[in-house]
Amino acid sequence: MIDYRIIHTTRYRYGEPVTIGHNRVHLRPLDLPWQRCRRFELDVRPRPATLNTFTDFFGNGVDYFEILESHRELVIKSSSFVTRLPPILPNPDATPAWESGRQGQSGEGGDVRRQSIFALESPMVARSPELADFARPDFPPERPLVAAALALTQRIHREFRYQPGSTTVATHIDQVLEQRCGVCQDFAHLAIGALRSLGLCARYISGYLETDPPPGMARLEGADASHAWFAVLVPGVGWVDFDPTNGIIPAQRHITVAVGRDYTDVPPVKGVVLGGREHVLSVAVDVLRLPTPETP
Amino acid sequence: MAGEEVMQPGYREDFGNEGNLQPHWRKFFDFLYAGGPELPQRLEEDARRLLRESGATYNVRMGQVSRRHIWPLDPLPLIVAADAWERLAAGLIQRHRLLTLLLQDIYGPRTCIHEGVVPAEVIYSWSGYLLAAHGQVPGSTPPLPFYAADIGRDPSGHFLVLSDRTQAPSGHGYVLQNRRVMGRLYASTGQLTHIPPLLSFFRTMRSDLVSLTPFSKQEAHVVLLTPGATYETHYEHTLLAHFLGLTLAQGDDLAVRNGRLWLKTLNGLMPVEVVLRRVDEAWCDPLELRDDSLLGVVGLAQVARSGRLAMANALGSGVLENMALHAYLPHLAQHFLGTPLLLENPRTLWLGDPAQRAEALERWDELTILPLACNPAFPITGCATDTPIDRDKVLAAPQRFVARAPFIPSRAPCIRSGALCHAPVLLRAYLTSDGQHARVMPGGLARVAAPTTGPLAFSPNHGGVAKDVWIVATQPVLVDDTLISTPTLDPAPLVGVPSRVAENLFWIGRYAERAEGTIRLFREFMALDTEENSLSRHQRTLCRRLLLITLTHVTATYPGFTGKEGAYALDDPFAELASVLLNSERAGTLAFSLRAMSQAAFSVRDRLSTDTWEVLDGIVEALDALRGRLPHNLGGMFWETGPLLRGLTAFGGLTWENMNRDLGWRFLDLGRRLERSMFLAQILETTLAEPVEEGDEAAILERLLTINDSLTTFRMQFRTAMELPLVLEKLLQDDTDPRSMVFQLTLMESHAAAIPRGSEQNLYRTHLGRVVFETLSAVRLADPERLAAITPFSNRREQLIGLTGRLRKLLPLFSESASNSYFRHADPPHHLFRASRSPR
Repeated sequence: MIDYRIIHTTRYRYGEPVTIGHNRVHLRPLDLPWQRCRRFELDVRPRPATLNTFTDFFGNGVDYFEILESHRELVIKSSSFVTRLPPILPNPDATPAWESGRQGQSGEGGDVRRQSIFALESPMVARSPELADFARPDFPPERPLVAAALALTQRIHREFRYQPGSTTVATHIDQVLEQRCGVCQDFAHLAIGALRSLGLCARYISGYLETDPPPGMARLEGADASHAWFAVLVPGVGWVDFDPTNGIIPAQRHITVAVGRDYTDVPPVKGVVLGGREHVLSVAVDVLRLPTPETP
Repeated sequence: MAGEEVMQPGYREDFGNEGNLQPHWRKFFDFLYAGGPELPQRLEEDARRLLRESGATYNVRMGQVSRRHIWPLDPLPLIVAADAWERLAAGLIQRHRLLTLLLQDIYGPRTCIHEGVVPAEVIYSWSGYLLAAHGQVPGSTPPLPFYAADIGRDPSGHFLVLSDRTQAPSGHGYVLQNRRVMGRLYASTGQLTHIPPLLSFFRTMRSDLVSLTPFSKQEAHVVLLTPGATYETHYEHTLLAHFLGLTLAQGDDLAVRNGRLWLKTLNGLMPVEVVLRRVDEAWCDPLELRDDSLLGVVGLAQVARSGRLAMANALGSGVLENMALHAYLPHLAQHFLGTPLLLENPRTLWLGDPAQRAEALERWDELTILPLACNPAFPITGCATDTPIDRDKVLAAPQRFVARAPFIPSRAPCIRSGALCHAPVLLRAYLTSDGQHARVMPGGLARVAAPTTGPLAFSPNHGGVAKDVWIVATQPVLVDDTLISTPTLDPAPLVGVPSRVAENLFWIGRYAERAEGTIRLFREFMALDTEENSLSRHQRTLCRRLLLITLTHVTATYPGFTGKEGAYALDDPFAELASVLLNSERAGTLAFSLRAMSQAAFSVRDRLSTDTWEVLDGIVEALDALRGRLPHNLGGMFWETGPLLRGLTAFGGLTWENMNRDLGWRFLDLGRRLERSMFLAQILETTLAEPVEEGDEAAILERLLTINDSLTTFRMQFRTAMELPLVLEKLLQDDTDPRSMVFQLTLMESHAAAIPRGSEQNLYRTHLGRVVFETLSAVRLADPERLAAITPFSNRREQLIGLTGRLRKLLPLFSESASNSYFRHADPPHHLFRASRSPR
């Protein structure tokens, strides 16, 4: 069990005053079987005229606010205290054959049907024969689902170069597949597209990584900003996470903020403002492991 | 009626399948056959004239431009027997109940998906399914107050639904328009006595709309959200808003502040509780829906979600328009209602389902393959009709298609080119509901297919023609007693003129006045040559040149007749004059001003009276006629501008006589006065700055007075020769002359005083007030004798130039100030997330 304090600061500086701003943010960490959000505070400057919280389709907590006072700088600072437990992981080789997780199968289980939205196309993730072909080597008939998904995760880590700046938030998977490099969001989309092209349910996860590794452990890629990875639905088990950027199954150093079909469902900050012209954006994420209380 | 038509397939509305005249058509046929062979043609002509008069239009978009067309209406009704209609209505009510339950389930517990009644893909992959519609306050407002279905009669005479209209059912306004025209066509024939009137349905609709409000039903402010004047069915929106007593609003008339929706008016923000939505749902909110939309309101989805605003219909209701659902409706009826459907679809197979696909492949040639992307039957306008679809293309993405049992619509009598014939017909039926009680309109919008050989086309873009629907009762309809017995709710008045409306009215005033001034100058220029006068050749030339130069200045079509380039044009003015008058692509020309005026007028159509629309349409027609047969000489142009001038004068008179003296009117008049005073300042400066010989000057002064329509009164007031100081006094300072400068400025001052100033009490502390006061004082205090004086060294009238120069500087400030204080439309919204950094 590890406690984290996360501070995520998003700062917009505008060329001209902004008179009105409407924003919706996905910054509130989810509660999951292996994660508890103990406290969450959202500090917005200038102070919003209204701030509402609601739960979206995926169960994420969304904060919506309006700023009605003229400003040249908008600062959105979220502070979370999250307790992370080790994931309940099945033995990868003992999980059901991957075919059983396919949507639309005659014997498809209720849990697959309830999550079937994650097997369909979404704004940034199309299904295609090419993506299915890309996944196929790791998905021979009857291979246990978690073992296969882990193999895919590791192959993406091996064969694709992590290169910030090589893509944008709007980059399409085809281009990632072509240029063989990208950032965490691209790798997550790629894996999700490949899995969905096989008929499996896969979802996008937006979250954080521990910034500074504990002594003796390597620093993970993507720790200085928000991070993204994916999960696959395993019948009888539930969602199992995979991080293709680092080629691993997340353990206790990943903190989930929100889940969706792809990035467009859970952008950390989204807004429309009046005025402002150009803006400069800076983001800082600090994920600090809090000292564990001494155990007797 | 030609004999071979009887052989064509499809149920015959008038003669049924047995070939016997149906009883409910008898009365109408008696009338038709008693009218003689000329009747069809007469009805057709009368209908067209009535439609033209009422300005009933729809827009056809071609690339960037959209053109208005007269709404096509067949003068023969589609007659339906009351008992058949009752069964149809019962089926419609059941279908509406089913669709409402389905909608609430889709955006709520999703049992239909989880229990496998409908494949997830049919719901989630359809473009009308909106994730943003989740999380609404559950069960707070009925999500589907309005519903319409496109219905046809199959060869056995049964009604079938071809498509459901749920996200923003449209066409109500056209139904009203059709009935209005039919009412006048058949007024004296006694045909309408057995037809139920539509009024009470629309009252119920308005009441249902009001009852949606999350707040007090006595204080519900309702707007009709329209995409704007260039949108194809804008006319219908203005008509419906007018009829229901709603304020017509575009996206940028509205704003979300403090978690509520507001209308931006000259008096400030006014709360809005209910939106009758005619903007397609995907375009309603650039924050949560399509981010490239300029038609929506930022934050609208959130206000609706929070329960502080009701929308008719709710966001997300487009999910029900998916034709793939038709394959599952029978199961869904069992799932939600436990009963079979009363009103069915033609049998439909969704090709995304392996079993249904297999069936479709077996019977491929007898089925109609339809892409889900286009919802056919008949959209009010647009949308292509069925075209043959390649089998391989379908099998590459089968989930995007349905296969449907072929549907042969019934045929009804109609009039085409003056002759009676039969053509395929469909009908749109309407329902309104407050969540408890549903009511079906006793009538509807029928559509006759275009006379083409290919696939049937019902949209007016493809030659389809509308028809009124008459439900013929066996007894005369006497009084609509529901009107008296049922209490209805009315929307609360939304006081205040939307800023956009004020801005458009202001520009209508300016453009109308500018156009009028341009024509007056041109006609006076022509009169110099064509009318008898006592001018010498030299004087004529002088006056002509001065008028042409003034024309360039007031229209700002430089260089025109000014400067070096202008010298040639002055010698041979035809080409440049033709351009200044008729080139609508060139800014400032007469044609440009009239186009701009007509566009501005169209977007505030709901604020102008029917008479005013007629005059405006007449002006546009006169302009089109003028441009169509471009006169080859100036004489021709002179005559052709007559109707334009008369139209503009009539418009001026109507706005003065018939418009409510609200703030909108003040802005219109403000624009007119501003333009007129700028015109006057300009013409005085151009013609009088440089002194000329006494005789020549008299000639110029006479032109000035004529253009200003003041010659006669001047002569009556001053029985003297043309003396400059007197003329200046008359043109600038005569309070009793409606074309004088002080007259314009005094009115402008009174308008400025009446416009809300926020917290500022004192008019003269506002920019607008100071500008108008300074201008008015300068004119009032000027001494005509001194204005007329010639400054020795420069040999110019420096005093006069000083005054007109000052006016020409101050008057534009007035426009700028009005624009800054009242029209200032903030920059288009700007997205923050587009450039935001991707997660790593």
